[in-house]
Amino acid sequence: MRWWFPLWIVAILGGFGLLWSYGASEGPRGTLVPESSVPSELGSRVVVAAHPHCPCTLATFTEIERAVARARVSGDDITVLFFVPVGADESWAHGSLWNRAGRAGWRRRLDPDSRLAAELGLETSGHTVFYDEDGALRFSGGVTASRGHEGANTGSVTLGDLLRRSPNSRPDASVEPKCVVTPVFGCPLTDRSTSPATRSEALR
Amino acid sequence: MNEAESISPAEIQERTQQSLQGVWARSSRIFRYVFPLQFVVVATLAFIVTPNTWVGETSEVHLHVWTSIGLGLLLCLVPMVLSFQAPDSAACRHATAIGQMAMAGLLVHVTGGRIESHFHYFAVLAILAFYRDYPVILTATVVAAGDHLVRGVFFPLSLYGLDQVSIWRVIEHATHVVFEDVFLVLGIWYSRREMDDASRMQLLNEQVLAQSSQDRDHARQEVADARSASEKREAEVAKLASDITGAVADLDDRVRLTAESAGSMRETMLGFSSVLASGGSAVDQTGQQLENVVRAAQEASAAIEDLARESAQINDITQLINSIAERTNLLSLNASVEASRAGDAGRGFAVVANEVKQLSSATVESTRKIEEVAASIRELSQRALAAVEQNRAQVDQTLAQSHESRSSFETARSTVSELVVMVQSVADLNEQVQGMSASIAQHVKSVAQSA
Repeated sequence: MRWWFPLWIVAILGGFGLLWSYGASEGPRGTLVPESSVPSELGSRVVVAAHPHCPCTLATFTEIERAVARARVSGDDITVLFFVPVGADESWAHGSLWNRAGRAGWRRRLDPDSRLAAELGLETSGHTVFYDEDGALRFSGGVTASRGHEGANTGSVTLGDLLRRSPNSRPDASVEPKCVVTPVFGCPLTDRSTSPATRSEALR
Repeated sequence: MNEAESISPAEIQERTQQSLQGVWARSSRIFRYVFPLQFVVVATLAFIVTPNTWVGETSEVHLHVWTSIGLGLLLCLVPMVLSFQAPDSAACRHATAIGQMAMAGLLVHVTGGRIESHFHYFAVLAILAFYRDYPVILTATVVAAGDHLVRGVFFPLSLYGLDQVSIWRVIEHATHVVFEDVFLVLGIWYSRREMDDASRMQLLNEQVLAQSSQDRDHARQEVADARSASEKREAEVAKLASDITGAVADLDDRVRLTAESAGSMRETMLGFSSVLASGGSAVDQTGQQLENVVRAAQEASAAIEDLARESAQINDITQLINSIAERTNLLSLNASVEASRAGDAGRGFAVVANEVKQLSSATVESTRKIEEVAASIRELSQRALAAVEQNRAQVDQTLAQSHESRSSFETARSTVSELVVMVQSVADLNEQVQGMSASIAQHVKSVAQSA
């Protein structure tokens, strides 16, 4: 065996390790908001925060599409909050994700400076929350196993299960509903280290 | 003993191994084109699918773009180098398997784990089966399994705890891979068995061919020997033809020179003949002059003889005169005696008698001188005659020599004339020889060319 062969293997492992570690690096987890009226105000049980240009969120949309398809529910049950920087117009949010959500029949909502998402404790693109008909948080987290990676995972399966259950189908009212939390893999919606004014200035 | 039984399993295995070396080299050459194509596709997809990563409103180039380029090149590097250095080596095969499966993993990664992009694993496994090498399939499977396990299980597990869904997904994918592996290995086993059969048939054919090859070699050797001998003869003929051509050319030159010499000789002979004719004429003229000299000498001899004869008559006359003078003397003596006797009357007579005496004495003296002169004339005549005779003999000899010279000239002229004729014949013969030599040279040239 040539001496550089092991070096080559190590270099490959290093390269993939870099990719894997990047893919497994979760975004800001945000905060859990156990109860909220925002979803019902939006008309959906599922609310997804999305950065319009985050490439990782495409996989999130795919997984949600699969969950919706498996649950055979309406697209109205999904609302996507598209982040728009302060001072930016609506077109900033228009892109492949915006169109994809439109084709899926989901509700689309512009969310300047992620204020609405912040109310739900969402800080990372792809962060999905499920609130039941009582406004209780049943799921919070990502629906992908890693950054931008499609495929079945705990988050997507949980979301599908929750969607599949009909409203008011809580099996045992005496049991406190459990909230499933998974890591979120995606781009941060905003740079919280700077003020909205500064971010608006940077955008201009 | 059956022919098939004479082929040992080791021989079959060795021949199959040789065939496999060719299969491995060919397959490695295929991957020389597959790797660059995959690299371009992966880098392009990374640029299209994940161009940037965002934080709020700021963005930067996505890590996938850089890693797909860097890692893609790294994956291509070793298999490509080995495919040129040692395409049939085990290192090249396994490096290709590792590179291909890792490239499939990279493709899956940059496409966000799309289920469709997982098909590439199976496509690559099928292409790797071109090697017809079980360990290559094993290496590829281990790499694919390792990629999925690490990426799909251990990373999320190590960070976030057990994810049963991901594990089942990995197991599902692994099952598909193993399913394909089973049939690929089965296909390789069939293929290797067919290669063994082909090797056995090939060895049998070679045995048959070896025997016929010996006969063929023998016949080929005979043909080669015959060809060699023929070539040798042709070379000899060519050399001979060349020598003959050279000799004919030399002969032609010599004949031409001879013809020229014969012409010159003929001209010289004709000139010499003319000179001989002139010499003959000169000898003739000399002969005629010598004959004139002979005739003059004969006339001179006759004149001298006449002179001698006439001088002899002078003696007779002088004798007569002497006798007369003696008688006169006697008479004068008588007269003197008479005169003395006559005294005075005889004195005068005495005087006359004296005078007569003196005259007689003078006459005697004169005749003696005449006799001396005559004797001198006779002597001179004899000497002149002798000289004339001597000259005549020499002239006669010269004349004879002149005649001989004349004859020699005639003979020489005749000979020269004959030589001129002969030289002319030689010149004519030379012309014929020249014509023949040209014809010979042409024929020899034709023979040499045909040789």
